[in-house]
Amino acid sequence: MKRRDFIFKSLITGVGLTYSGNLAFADIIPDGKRISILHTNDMHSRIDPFPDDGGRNANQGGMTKLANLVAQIRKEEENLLLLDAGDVFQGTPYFNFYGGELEFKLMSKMGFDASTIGNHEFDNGLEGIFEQLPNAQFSHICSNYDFSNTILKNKILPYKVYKKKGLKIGIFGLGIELNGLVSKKNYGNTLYLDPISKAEEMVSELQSKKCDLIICLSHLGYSYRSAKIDDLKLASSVSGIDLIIGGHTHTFLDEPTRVKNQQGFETIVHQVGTGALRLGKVDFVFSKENKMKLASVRSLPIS
Amino acid sequence: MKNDYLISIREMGKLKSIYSLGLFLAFSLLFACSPQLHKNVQASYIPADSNVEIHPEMEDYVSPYRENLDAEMNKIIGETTTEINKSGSGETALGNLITDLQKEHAEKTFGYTIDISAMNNGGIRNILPEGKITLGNIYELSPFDNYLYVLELDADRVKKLAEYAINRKSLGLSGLFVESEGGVLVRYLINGEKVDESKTYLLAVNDYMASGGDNLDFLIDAPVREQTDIVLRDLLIERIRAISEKGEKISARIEGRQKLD
Repeated sequence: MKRRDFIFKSLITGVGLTYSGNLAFADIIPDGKRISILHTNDMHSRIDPFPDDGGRNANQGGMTKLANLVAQIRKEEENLLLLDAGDVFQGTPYFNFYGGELEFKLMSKMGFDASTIGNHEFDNGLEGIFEQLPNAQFSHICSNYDFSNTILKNKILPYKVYKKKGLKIGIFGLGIELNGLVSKKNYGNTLYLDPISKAEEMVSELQSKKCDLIICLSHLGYSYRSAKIDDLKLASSVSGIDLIIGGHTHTFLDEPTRVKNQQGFETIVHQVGTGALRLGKVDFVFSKENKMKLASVRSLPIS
Repeated sequence: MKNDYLISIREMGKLKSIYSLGLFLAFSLLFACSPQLHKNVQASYIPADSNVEIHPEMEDYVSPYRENLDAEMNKIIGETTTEINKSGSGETALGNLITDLQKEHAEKTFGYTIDISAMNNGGIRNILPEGKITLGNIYELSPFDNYLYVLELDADRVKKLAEYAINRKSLGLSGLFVESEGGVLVRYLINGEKVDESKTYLLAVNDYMASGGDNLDFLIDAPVREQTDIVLRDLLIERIRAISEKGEKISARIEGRQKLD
């Protein structure tokens, strides 16, 4: 009874709440395969928490704190992927002095599985990415930048399939239009390709590989009033993406946006602001029978 | 499972209000109506707030990087005679200093005369204290990577810039004098002279302004003479170091470049 009370509370109170409940999901749904997707975006070289200057974010965020959250969740979640939606680079003097070395090394230590290419990754040119890639023990995935005439040829993956305890998770990435945003000198011969047609191509490729879950790491931005492509338009236009992990617009979503497109497919769009102030967590549960199973909100005590 | 929950609610008898029940049903329906029957999902976020401890192992790893960085940031690159701050309406001491240094750097880099240099006051994030100036001071003053641009302005665009300066009271200016009466532009001069309608003037700005930031729409289509990857912060550091090497101190004050009423 206590357990049900817990679930009930988690449903009505929504997100961002912390519990001290030590409830493993397997207790609720013994036959459910489960994977937890942890995600960040726009960390912007925020290695340390924001400075103690009386500002809104003082003493919050930063990769050294984020690492603690990730470590705690790893203790309790058996099956997880840790993903990032780009703009790891630029924002503090750590980037100006070390060029992204420390960012990639800390992400590797935390066990990131993949990131994508945000516009600020180009801030030290293609060479700046090339030089730092050896520090990243995780994949960089971007499907709509064609790097084949650059030094990044074959260094950035168009997609990757992760096998996690009987589940196949297909991940692809989408980058924002470079022209007008990034200096031509910095992106060189990189070609920007249409995100919608690339997304359709990736979804069909990943479906043909029998992926149970398809995730897009997007640095397109959450939503624009103009016709510019964004995560919400992507979700409406392309069926088959289960989760869009967004970035670029530094949007703090208090709850993810569910977009149901004309074909009836529902995509979840999530984004967690900037500066490693928040760690997103999306839990998927797969049932053996096609029965409804509820997933629980499960946050960790952070005191 | 949905029924399971309804039964459990009945059993619990803990519902405080119809409102809670409504919310619960709304959530149940949200999940129940999902066409993706195989997958169910719940999403949340966890704040890395002040209650979260710093990971000790990560802290150990970062600390030598931070020490090196701090040592760099604490390096003294120059000295001011007095505090150079952002007080004032439109014209400020710091805006004057930055636009002067930007103009000087552009002229040295390209080898020709720049007529006007402008800086959006909003992009200046801190002041320069009296006395010793560290590298860190300049990073705080200019944390963004703004790049140096040179635009070609016709007489019409020069007038628009002058009007913008008096209306918004948010620009630092070098080379362009503006004066208003009753909020209306009454006089503007480039290096003390009236604007020649047939001439093209060169404006040094950052890329944010050149691309129409802060509603500087009239700059968007101005012909670009130079598009550089020279970061404003770096050029300030280079100029300040050059002044120090000559044994001079940095000074700037409000001197009546913008007479706004």
